[in-house]
Amino acid sequence: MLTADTSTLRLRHLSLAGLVAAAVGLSSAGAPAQEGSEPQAPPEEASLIDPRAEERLRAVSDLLAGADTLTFRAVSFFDEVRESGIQIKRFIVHDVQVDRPGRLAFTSTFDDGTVRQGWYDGETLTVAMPDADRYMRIEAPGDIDALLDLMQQDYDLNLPLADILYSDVYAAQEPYLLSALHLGERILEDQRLDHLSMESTGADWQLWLEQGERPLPRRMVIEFVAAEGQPEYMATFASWTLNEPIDPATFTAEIPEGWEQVEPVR
Amino acid sequence: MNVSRRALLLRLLPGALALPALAATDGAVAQTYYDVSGNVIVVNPGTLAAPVTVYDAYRRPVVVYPAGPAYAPSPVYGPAGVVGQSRRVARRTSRRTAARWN
Repeated sequence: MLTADTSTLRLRHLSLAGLVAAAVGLSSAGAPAQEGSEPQAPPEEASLIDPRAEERLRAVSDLLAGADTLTFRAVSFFDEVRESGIQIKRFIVHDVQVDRPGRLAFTSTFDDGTVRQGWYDGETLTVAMPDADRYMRIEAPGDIDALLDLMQQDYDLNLPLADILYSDVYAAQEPYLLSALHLGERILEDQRLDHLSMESTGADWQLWLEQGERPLPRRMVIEFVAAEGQPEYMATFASWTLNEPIDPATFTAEIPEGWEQVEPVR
Repeated sequence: MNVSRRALLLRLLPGALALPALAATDGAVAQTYYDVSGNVIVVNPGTLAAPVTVYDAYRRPVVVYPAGPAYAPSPVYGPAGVVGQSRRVARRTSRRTAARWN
């Protein structure tokens, strides 16, 4: 049997307690002070960060941060909003390899058959476009966190599943987090998962995490509520590996001779 | 600020009417947009050397890319993530309240 949504119940209870406390405070404010009565504390403002959701978010953050290497495959759907307003569902598969702190490689295969390959070696991000015999290079000395910040601030490039590539996933999200809620337990392919719902300043998002000490993400949904048409992105994760050795050649860019170098869009 | 009556009228019209295609050059279609002050401008991707940011009839920013495969419009790898999108849009407040938590 699935567990009840206890966090919701608890928070509603807190709200009720707050209302009762407020009512008591109001009534006592208009009445003469009674000898020996304790001063009433103001009602505690209920946080919109559910402690259980925060605990799970910190747990997945710690798990991924503690991995020297990680690899995963993400099968993703996202909405492409046309000028007409009609949304088209697109499909993309990401294969990602991470070697902390400074090496990243990915292969993204679109539903139109095009492939994008990327390699980051702690100095340079190289992106190959094999269908066009072109590639681009971006100088980004530092680590993966610095690369992600640079890409999202200065360039019009979105690295696959950037949110979970940060060395501290929770710290990267926290400044933008408006609310978080543990919705309860869900079952996906015979696996029990924690279902979390978050609001951030730029998007609503949901996570389905494995239960227990390895709370790996199994599914992530992002709804871009500030964008026209509120498109959605849904990724299902598979083939997670943590702390498994990765061939160093994985992170070496392979650009065939004769390909044209193009400038990235800033 | 010099905003013509036509420009003001165009802003009130649906986007499809407000942004008519004007001409085609080298396969790229020139379109009317607005600058930051609301003045009507015509942008032809076929003659652009680099991406430019202009505004549509509803004052929403639009990035117009040069024609040609060297510039691959975003999203190149799918949409931005939560952090990336949060950095690009204005802050908002939560729709959740203690009274209506879900």
